[in-house]
Order: sequence, then C-alpha cells, then structure tokens
Amino acid sequence: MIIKTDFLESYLKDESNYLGKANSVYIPENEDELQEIISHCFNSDLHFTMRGAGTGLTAGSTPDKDVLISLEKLNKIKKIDTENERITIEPCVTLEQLDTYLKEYEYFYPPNPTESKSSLGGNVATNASGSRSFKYGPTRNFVTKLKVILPNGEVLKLERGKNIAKNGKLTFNTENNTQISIDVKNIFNTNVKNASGYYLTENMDAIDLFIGSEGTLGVFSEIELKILKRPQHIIGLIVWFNNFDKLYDFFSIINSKINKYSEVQPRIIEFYNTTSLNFLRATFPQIPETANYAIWIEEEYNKEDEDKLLENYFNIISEFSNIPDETWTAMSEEEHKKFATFRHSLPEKTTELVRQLGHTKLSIDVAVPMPLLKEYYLKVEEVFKGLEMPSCIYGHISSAHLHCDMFYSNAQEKVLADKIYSKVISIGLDLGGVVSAEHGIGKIKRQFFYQMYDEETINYMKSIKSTFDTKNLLGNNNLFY
Amino acid sequence: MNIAVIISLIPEAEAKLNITNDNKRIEASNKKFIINPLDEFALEEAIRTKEKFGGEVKIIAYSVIDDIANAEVLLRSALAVGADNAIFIENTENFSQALIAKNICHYLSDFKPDIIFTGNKNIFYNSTELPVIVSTLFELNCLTEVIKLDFRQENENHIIAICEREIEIGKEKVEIKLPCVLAVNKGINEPRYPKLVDIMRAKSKPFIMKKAEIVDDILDVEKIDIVINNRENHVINDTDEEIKKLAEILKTKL
Repeated sequence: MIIKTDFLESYLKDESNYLGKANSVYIPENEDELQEIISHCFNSDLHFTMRGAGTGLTAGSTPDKDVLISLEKLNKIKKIDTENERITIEPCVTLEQLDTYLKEYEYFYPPNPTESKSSLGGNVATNASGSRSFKYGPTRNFVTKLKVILPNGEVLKLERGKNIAKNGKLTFNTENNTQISIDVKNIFNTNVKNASGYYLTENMDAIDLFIGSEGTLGVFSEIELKILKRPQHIIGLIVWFNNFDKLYDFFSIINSKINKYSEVQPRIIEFYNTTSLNFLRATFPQIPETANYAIWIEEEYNKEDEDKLLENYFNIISEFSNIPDETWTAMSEEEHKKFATFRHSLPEKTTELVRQLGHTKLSIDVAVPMPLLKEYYLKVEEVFKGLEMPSCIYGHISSAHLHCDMFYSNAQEKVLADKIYSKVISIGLDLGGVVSAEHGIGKIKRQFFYQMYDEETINYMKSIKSTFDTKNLLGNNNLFY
Repeated sequence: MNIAVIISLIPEAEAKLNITNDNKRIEASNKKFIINPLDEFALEEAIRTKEKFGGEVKIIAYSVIDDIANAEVLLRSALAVGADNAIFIENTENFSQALIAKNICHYLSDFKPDIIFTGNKNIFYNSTELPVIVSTLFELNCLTEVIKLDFRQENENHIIAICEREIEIGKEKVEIKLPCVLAVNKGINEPRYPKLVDIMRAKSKPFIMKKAEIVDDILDVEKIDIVINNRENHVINDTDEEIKKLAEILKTKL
C-alpha cells in the first residue's frame, strides 16, 4: 500500500474545481489492503472519502478532512463470462479500458457516460447515465452483483434479485452474518431520470440502495456487470432545424415507441441549442448556416433492413426539418469516428474556456417529467436569452434531461450565474423535476438537494446512512450537511 | 468536365499487421480498411470542381492489401458524398506504384479526364510517386502539394487551375492548364459529411469491381520487415526507493 502525506494537491480536486482537504492519501494495491485501511479508519475514528478516477463534477470524491482512499490500483478486469453475458471487474477499471477489452470479444457495455476516463466504481456510485440511456437505461440496469466493504470493514455481497423489500422492510446479512434491516419508505422519484439521493422505493432491491449512493454507504471492491453483444450495424444522423417547435415535434415522434414511423427505434437522441452549435462552428464550418438547433440520433439495425430504415428516416426528417437534404449520416466505422469527434468537441471547447481562459463552469443537471419538457426548455431558454457570458444547452432530450452550462469569468458574472442557476433549478423543481439527473449531489449541490426534499425526508435518508455508517465516517459532507 | 479521383484503401490505424511466412506479404488481422486520409481531401476537391463546372466524378480505387472486407462500403460512402461512379481494381497487393498507375490509366483512358485528383501521399506506403507516374503515362501536367485551388476559364475549352503549393520557405502560386493531375494536401478543404439523401442515391450509383489487367511489374518485393518497438517500459511507484531508482535511470541512461 502506498501512503502519501505530502504533495496531495492532485487528489484534492475533481472536475468541479472544489478544493478539498486531507492529511493523508492511502492507495491500496488489492482488496485485502482496501479492507485493512477501511478497518483502520473505523477503529481510529478517521473520516475517509473514496476516489476513483476523479472525473466527477460534484466533488463527491474530494475529501473534506482526514483520509482519502484512492482506488486507482484496483483497476483489473477479473473475469468475462460470455455465455451468461457478465463481466467482473475491480472498481477503478475505466469505461475506455472496459470497452477496449470487450471489443476483442465483440461485446459492449451499453451505458455510455460521456467521460470515457471515468471509473466504473464511480459510475456505480453515481448511477451514471449517458447518451445510450434512452434505449438501455442508466448504470443501475447493468449492475448484477456488488461486493461492498461497509465502513466498519464488514463485507456485504449483493446480487440482483436476491434481497427485495417486503412489507416496508429490507433485510440482509453481511458475510459475518450480521443482520441489517432498514425501513423502506417510498421517496425516490422513478418517473424522472434521477441521481438525487438514495434509491428508496417500495419493493426495491437492496443492490439499488448502494447504486447512486455517492460513496456514503459502503465501498465497492468488486462489481459484476451485464454486457451485450456488440451490434453489427449502427446508423448515426445529425438532423438540423431552424425552429425549436419543429424540432420538438420531430423529437416527440421518434421518442415515442409507437408511431407511424414505428420502424424507427433510436438508441440515442441528443439535443444541441443555438449557442451549442455556435461553439461547434469554429471546428465544423460544414454546419449548415441556417441551422439553429440539431438532434443527433443513433440506431442499431440489421443489414437487410437498411434500405427501409434510411427511407423511414428520410421521410420523417423531410416532414419536420427545413433542410432535410443537409442531414449528416454516419454508417461506416470511420464516419462514426468523425461523429464522435463532433460530439466530444462541445465538452472540449467548453473545457478550453475553463482551462485556458480561466472561466468557471456552472453546470445545471435538472431533469423534468417528459410531458413538461417543452415548457421547461422554453422557460430556461427565456432565462438564458441575451446572457452575455458563454453558455450552452444540450444533452439527453430523450430522458427529459438537458445540461445547461454557464461559464463566468469575473465576480459580477458569478453573481449573475448563481442567480440563474437557482432560478433554473426552481423552474425544474416546480415542474416536478429533480436537482440532479446524472452528476449526483456530492458536496456542491447540497443546498439544492435540501430544497428538493423536506426535512423529514432528509432525516430519513440520514438515518439510512447511519445504519451502515454508525460513526458517520464515510464520504464526509457528501449529500448531507 | 470529366473529373477522376484516385483513392487508395489502407488498413485502419489500429489494425494489427502481420507478415506472411515468406516475408513478402502483409496481412491485416481485422480486415477493416479506411480511405487514405489525403485521398478524402482529393474527393472533396473533385466534388467541389464538379459543383462549379458540372460533369462527372469517377472514382478509381485500389487497395494496398488484398484481404479487404469493406471496399464496397467505403466506396459507397465516397459515392454518397457526391461522386457519380466507382471502379475498384482488385488484387493490386504488392504492386509497385508504377504498376498501379498503369492499371489506373488502363481503366481511365476511355474517360479522358480533364482533371485527376489524388492525395499527395499514400500514408501506408509513405509514397508520393503515383500522381507523377499517372501524369507521365497520360502525358499530362502535374502539380503536387496543392493546398488551395481556384479556376480561371479563358473559354469553353481553355481552363486554368490556379494552385497554391506548399514549399520549404512558404507558399507558391502556380497556374496550370487543364487537363492535369493535381495531388492535394491536408488543409485544402474540410471534407463534407455524407448526407442521408445522398447515401440513398449512392445505392444505385454504378460500382464496378475490375481485375488488375496489367500484372508484369518492374519491381519485385524482396522482403518486408515490421519494425519491432524495442522501447523499454518501467513503471515507477511513488515511494522514496523507487524515486531514487528513477533518478539513477535518468542519470545513467540519458
């Protein structure tokens, strides 16, 4: 085990730029060492925070005191079982590493969070989702087993389907046969894409409580994931619109599973507003001049259906887009790579603003119920209108979840950005939405987390935490004050 | 205007390459190929030229290794960005660039091209001679390293290409009379993305596979070697002892 007590700076920040504090960083090299250091922290009453790849956006892996445990060395792929479509990994395997490995076997891991360098442990801790969540759902849907080290060092093995809540109670045993029992109240909004607080619902599975718990209940030392056969053919389309209403009508049709174009069943639908396209125009002068909005679609298909699929898309695009002939299309692997460059350009361009020009990013991660998405968007667009600092609205329209980013560069702009941030979150919550659909609460969104839930619910979630973390040592200041 | 584009298909960058036992052939394990990136700029320039003058864009393509699985897919996507038809010359593996040029000219002679575009370099073979040999065989003018292209039309039969070329000290502006061969470099344009409607149209555009007609080569491949990377990798852990070791390595080996 490596123990560091100085030059800790690189461990005290994630992508949110929130600066943490710690006295030491422990880097266990295997599961035994991980368990050993967790027990040491417990016995010595040391607060400890877990860190994977450090790519989070809410300071969940940033320590506030005492100890940081970095899982960076637990990065091995342990076993692939193609017959049952399962893969067993250590927590700090990255999405990129997993995909390269699975490619050899012609398999893939469907959730597709944008940050390919993020760790699967972090993905599970935040129930990360991504562009393919429309078809496949978030990380949760693909976690089949978890080995969890509880804050007192005891080990808990969870398998999906084995521990289901009954009559408001969820009961299970650790490997030492300690029985844990919690009262289950239905508090988690499952109608909206949601990464805000513990997954507590009637008839829940115990494994789901830990998925999305943001490193506050236990530490994942081993993860088993469901994998799928890699699709043989994928079509990618970028469709341009000059008018939001037309875009929205188009989206509503392809987003519904049953429609007159029911052969059209995308796995990805993503949205870009005008300011997002303006960011991209610097790198992609080919973007049509008259395009104000864009939708990016991806669909898996069989070769024999190709002609029909192209025709279906062409018909529906011609009905709604004013420039249907400009629709960009990717079918070969090379063309998909070019599309990937297009998609990654927006985060790259905005990161440039942060890294090179010293702007600070404020990222809104609200999701709302699907029927209210258009109302939400139009209200947010109104709030963002005429904003002088750089901003963009883009993302997972098919989950009614759009990212709204602002980049301020001085104190005056910060005041304005904070004001807009609160305003947009209030708009979202008023429409029955959630504070965080994807990035989690961590430390930096607690204020809004407390705005979303009443005191009784917050206290209930705190009581769940103390069932597992009796001394309140793990993930200090994540979720709760 | 009759416009031809020479396109070569090469293994994708990540492809694992092996040499056959006789050391004379390269095998690509996953058989996934791409269009030589500089030829994509040539294709875009050909389509822009057609948009300006009208006419026909003919693709003439070959592959550097025979066991290619996706030649038609790649060339259909080239047709989708605006070319009108394509010929793929099969079995050109281990051909010298001169022999490839002879076969290209064989299949292009009836077409009587006014311009032949191609990429400045085949990045797989690191070779630049193809456009020059093609122009010699056709007895045409040739310019390489073209990074900007414009035209001046004196009259219907007299078109001048105004080209900017990269040279050692900067740029050179050259005028060349059509018909000619132009080998283009990166930066000349931003290739367009295939459009849905054009992909649908491309399905019915003519695509023909042809055997290499001329096979007597002036060159014979004696041996191919793949360079083995002898770089040593050391992982240094963050401990005092290891750091001392690193300092020692830096002192002695650099």
